[in-house]
Amino acid sequence: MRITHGSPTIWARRLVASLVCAGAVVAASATGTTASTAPPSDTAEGEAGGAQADLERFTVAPDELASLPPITGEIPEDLTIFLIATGNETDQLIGEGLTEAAELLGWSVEVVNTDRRDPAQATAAVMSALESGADAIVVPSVQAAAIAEGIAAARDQDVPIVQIGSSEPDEFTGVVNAITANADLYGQIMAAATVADAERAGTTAHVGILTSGALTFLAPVFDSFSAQLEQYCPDCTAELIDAPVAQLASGQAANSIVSALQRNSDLNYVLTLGNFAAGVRPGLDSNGFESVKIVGYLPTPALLQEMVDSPEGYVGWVVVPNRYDGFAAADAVLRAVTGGDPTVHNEAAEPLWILLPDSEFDPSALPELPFDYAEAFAALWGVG
Amino acid sequence: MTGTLTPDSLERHQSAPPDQPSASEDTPRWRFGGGLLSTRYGGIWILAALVVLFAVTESETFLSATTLRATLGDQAITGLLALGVLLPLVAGHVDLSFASVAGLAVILSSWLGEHTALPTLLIVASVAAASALVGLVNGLFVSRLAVNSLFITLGVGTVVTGLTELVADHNAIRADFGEPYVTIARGQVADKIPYLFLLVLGFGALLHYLLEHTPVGRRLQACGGNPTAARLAGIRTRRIELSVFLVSAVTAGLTGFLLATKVGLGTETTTNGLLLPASSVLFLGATQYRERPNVPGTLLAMLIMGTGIKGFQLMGASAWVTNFFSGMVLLLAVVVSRGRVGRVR
Repeated sequence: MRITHGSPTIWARRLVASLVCAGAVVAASATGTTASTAPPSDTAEGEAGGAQADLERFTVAPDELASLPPITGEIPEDLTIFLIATGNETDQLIGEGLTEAAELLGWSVEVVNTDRRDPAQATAAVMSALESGADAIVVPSVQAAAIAEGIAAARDQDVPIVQIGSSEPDEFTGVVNAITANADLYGQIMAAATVADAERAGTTAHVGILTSGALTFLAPVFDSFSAQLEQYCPDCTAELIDAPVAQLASGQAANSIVSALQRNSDLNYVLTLGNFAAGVRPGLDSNGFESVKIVGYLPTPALLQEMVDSPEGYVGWVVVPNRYDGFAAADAVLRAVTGGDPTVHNEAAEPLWILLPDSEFDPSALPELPFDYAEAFAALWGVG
Repeated sequence: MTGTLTPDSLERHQSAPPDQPSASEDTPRWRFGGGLLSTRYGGIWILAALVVLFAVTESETFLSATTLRATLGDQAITGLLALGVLLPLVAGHVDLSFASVAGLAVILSSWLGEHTALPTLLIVASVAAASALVGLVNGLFVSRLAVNSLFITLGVGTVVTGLTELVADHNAIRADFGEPYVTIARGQVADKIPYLFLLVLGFGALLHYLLEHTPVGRRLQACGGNPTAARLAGIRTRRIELSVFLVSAVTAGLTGFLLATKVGLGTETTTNGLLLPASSVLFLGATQYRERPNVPGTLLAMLIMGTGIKGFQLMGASAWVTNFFSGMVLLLAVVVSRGRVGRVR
């Protein structure tokens, strides 16, 4: 059969060819640098030459409880807190802390395992907790917008909700380790570590920040890092490396990073969230970029072990005391049910610190604070 | 056709000689020529055009050993998966569980390496066995119960994904298997050609020989062309159906082990983004060279995809361009093939 002009086949091919050409034009117009550097932060404490001094402070884990208002009102008995968790190491530690804190208060904890990455499942878990008679709900690592329906229902039933690690909290919820409130601290610690490392090496830091345009919750920390970097080192630069979300989640992010390094041969550091760092070090090494170092926050134990195995490939990891966050969440719930202010942690500084390759730590587990905060919280609550 | 229908005569009828087009009357040819200008060699021109485009626009970065190494290394895993899934496609079936099986292999091998004292070879064997079990389930459903392969592999793949999440428990597990596995997964020859890519070439050569030059290959193609006639001609179609799903799953499993070694970590999401790229490579490859699923076409498609993605990354394109490019390639492949790429049963 000869293909004629009137044939549906040739029209389908012309349509596809047109779409391909249009796509090529659009793609070509979408190219270009995705560099972005935030303006200097007015709150930055760092300055040129101060990176090393600040870094020394940030390598020491906090050894005392932050100042918190006393608890007023009588502590109710037999409350049940529902923890919406995924079962990973972070959530397990949060659950351990929350359970131990609840026991001190005479309460109990029910864990609801769900895939928080799916907003529908997270919302369903919150609704299920409310239907099961939850007196309070703790939700780690979920943006308020994703569980808006659940928050609204909890508000209607006067059930306090505490988020952990949210970057966009709802006004109703208490928040522990609020990313927006702590973005400057995250950024300053990583900037200080990076600049100090570059100064020791006699070079200038040019940082590629691994991210995805679809993940807006990363922006506060990365913007803060860029601003703090410029405060410490005006000649240092930071640019965004925009990778597909599928690559970030699947350990294939090294593909995009290598291309960015080829585009800009000045880049000598990569900043990343721990969840996206899988495969980055091996990918850099196998493509000849062994000298590019990684700095990041919220690592997994596997990444801590990788840093121990390849110390020359890392600047360090900013870590969070997840078990402490469980106690802080219980404290927020306690304030909510005793007539106090459950949002007291919303603007509080998270006790962060950075692990360097030569720091002393156990890489098989996520790190812990060096003081007995359980005892400190018990004293604050007047229990135990 | 006259005379008695025999397996040999059926295979000769089903398999078109390499220098003649397939039996379809509407083989696409340009008006002003044929041969290398036909659509079944169009991929070569597309690859050449992409190379020229990026060589001109990104002259300093594209034509480099780093680009060659990164492109071949990045696409090797996709290529291995696509080659493994090629066999079911030749036999007229689709296996959508391959990405899930690879994901299970990533987590299983990482978990065994981290929590047991098993030697690596035994871990590989365990992963292969687990993958074969999945392939067996797929194959039995398709061959014995005559369930549509599209639906059954989709269902089995979803179950396997659940098993992966069960083993991973939302944690990242270290995957450190030492030498020589790390060298195979991450090393290169002469600092340019990844060993993984050589593995793709070797596996591809083996598959090509099997499909094009052995009776087994001809029987596979007979199954894919006309299963009823193949069965009546005495070809054991059920055995072939079972075998292709076994091979596909074991290939995916071993590829998952290599991916875990390459990345150094195993997570439940490691293979999330592999289904579309491997499928795009497979279907685009089926429009090239033979106008049916074939190894040279698949390898060419792999290079086209890798070159396009790498080139756009070097140009600084936003992340969405990669997905857009992969999707457009798949769309183009499906339209050009116009259903000639086997008949899914």
